[in-house]
Amino acid sequence: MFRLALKMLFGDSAKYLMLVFGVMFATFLMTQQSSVFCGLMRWTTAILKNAPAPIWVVETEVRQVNQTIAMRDTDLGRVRSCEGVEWAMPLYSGVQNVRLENGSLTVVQLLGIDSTTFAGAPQRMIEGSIQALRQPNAVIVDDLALERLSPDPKTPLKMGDVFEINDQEARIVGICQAMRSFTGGPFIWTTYERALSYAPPQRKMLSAILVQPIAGRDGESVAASIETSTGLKAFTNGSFQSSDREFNTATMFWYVKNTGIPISFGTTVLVGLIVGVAISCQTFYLFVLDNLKHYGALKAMGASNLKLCLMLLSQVTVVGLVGYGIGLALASGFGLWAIGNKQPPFFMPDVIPFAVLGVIVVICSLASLLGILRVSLLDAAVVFRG
Amino acid sequence: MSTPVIAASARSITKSFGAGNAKIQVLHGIDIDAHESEILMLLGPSGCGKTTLISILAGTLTPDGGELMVLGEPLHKMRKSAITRFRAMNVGFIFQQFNLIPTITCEENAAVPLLIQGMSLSKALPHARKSLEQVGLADHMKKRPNQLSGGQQQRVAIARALVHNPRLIICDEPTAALDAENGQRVMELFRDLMRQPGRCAIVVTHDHRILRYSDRIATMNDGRIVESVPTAEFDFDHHR
Repeated sequence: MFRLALKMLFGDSAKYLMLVFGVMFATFLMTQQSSVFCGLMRWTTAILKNAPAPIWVVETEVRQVNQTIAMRDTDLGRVRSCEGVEWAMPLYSGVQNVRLENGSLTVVQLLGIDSTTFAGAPQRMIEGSIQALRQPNAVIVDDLALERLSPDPKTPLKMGDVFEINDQEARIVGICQAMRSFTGGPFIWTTYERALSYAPPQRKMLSAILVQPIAGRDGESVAASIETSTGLKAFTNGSFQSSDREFNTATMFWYVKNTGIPISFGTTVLVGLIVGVAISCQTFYLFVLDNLKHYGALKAMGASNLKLCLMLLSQVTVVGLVGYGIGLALASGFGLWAIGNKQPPFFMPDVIPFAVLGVIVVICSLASLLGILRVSLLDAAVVFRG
Repeated sequence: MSTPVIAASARSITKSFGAGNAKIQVLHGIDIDAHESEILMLLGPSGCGKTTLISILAGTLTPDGGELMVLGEPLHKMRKSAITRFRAMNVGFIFQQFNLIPTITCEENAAVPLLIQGMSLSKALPHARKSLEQVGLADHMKKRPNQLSGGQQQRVAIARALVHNPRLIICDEPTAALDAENGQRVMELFRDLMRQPGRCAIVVTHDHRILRYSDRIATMNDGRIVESVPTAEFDFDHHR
């Protein structure tokens, strides 16, 4: 009966393709939009990935990593004196203007790191070395900056090239890989002292303090100790939702709560779900109605309701799996393209394909439910009524 | 001469549809017997209750009252699921509009009753082919129903009705969708195949031309059996 059910399904190629399209569309839209949303949320925490440290100490009112409220330089010493702290280093973080050779301006994310320890330095160098930052006017840029800071995108910048940050010279001594920032600007590293000279002077300039706990101490307890001792805010920098004071989590939740981004993406995902349900349910119900007299004949010939329901379920399962497979492949293809193109943001955690599969199961269940009800209530004697 | 064995027996069968003022009594205490090795034809005007009676005899409709013994089983006492199983094992159906599944081949269509019984398609197909050979469609097994003429499609339906060797065949206007020539051919073939001992066919028809293929004719009117006589004793002139 399973093969018979499939032959009935494949035989009506127009409806079969429409059903597959409905599921495929829903899968693609939900997977792609969820992944772009996750990618965007990851971009909001790019500074934490690009300047990694187990603990970030910031001003008390800071709620997320892209929010900069400067602290006093003396706060660095207070943190260093806290119990459980192995070392603590200053970090400058701010959005600055870069003037290109053709006179136009572009924004960059400037990071100033300790010139002795290089705490917060880029993790993956492509060219040059971090130590070269000790040279005059030296900066390390990410690969995106090579294109963005070049007046002609066809001839990207290279090692040794010079540009201006707030009218002061900067020379490229290293190129690294880095996660894209939420603002879309490239990352530039320099020493803390030089970053202060690039940035417009303010009374307080210290953006954050990067802390390493002593061996054997967990970041959570050391962060709590720092908060108690200094009155500053201390976040851990770990995996998503690993603790209540985790900075990535706090940042992402801040964007979820304070921006319309989740509503925008959520609406698109909802549209995918609704369109999927509408197309699949309607088409499958039409398919069942078209075949109703055949189901009636099968019922008269002795096919039980259970057998007919299993036929419908096998049909809808095949449609669901084929549509889901194609939709997921398309979303993955989009993801590969986006990663290669460096935008739009795309990150597909394991949970997304499984969650979308769950939604597709719900869609297919709804689609089959109408058909199952119709067939179950079908009177076998209907075949004798012409 | 031996006493014919009763294949299906209906006693005081009643059936109504609707409720309250809209209630319509369709069958008024029907008594009828169908015997093994017999083709019983039910004749009567539209709306006289032929289809309702055949649906009850086939086990696809539950009567309101009366007793129904089919192939020795008391269908009026059986649960719906048991009746469904009974139909799958013992009853073959030939419908007015053939009811062949258009998206599968003739041999797959003919195999459907065996698939319903739980047989795999690979095991069912040889039986289906044999059944199609019996109805003279050996050359059309791989074709789809819409590639065949109406007469050929009804022969596929006959092959499907007989593939699982049922003891009771229920036919609903088997020649209604066929022209006269094809109708005669189909009925000749049907009668030949029905010669197998122990089989009983109950045929509902409007077509007087095929009455001669029956062994007995029961006429109905207004939900009652008016007469049930051997075909040889049937007054064709009176009913013409």
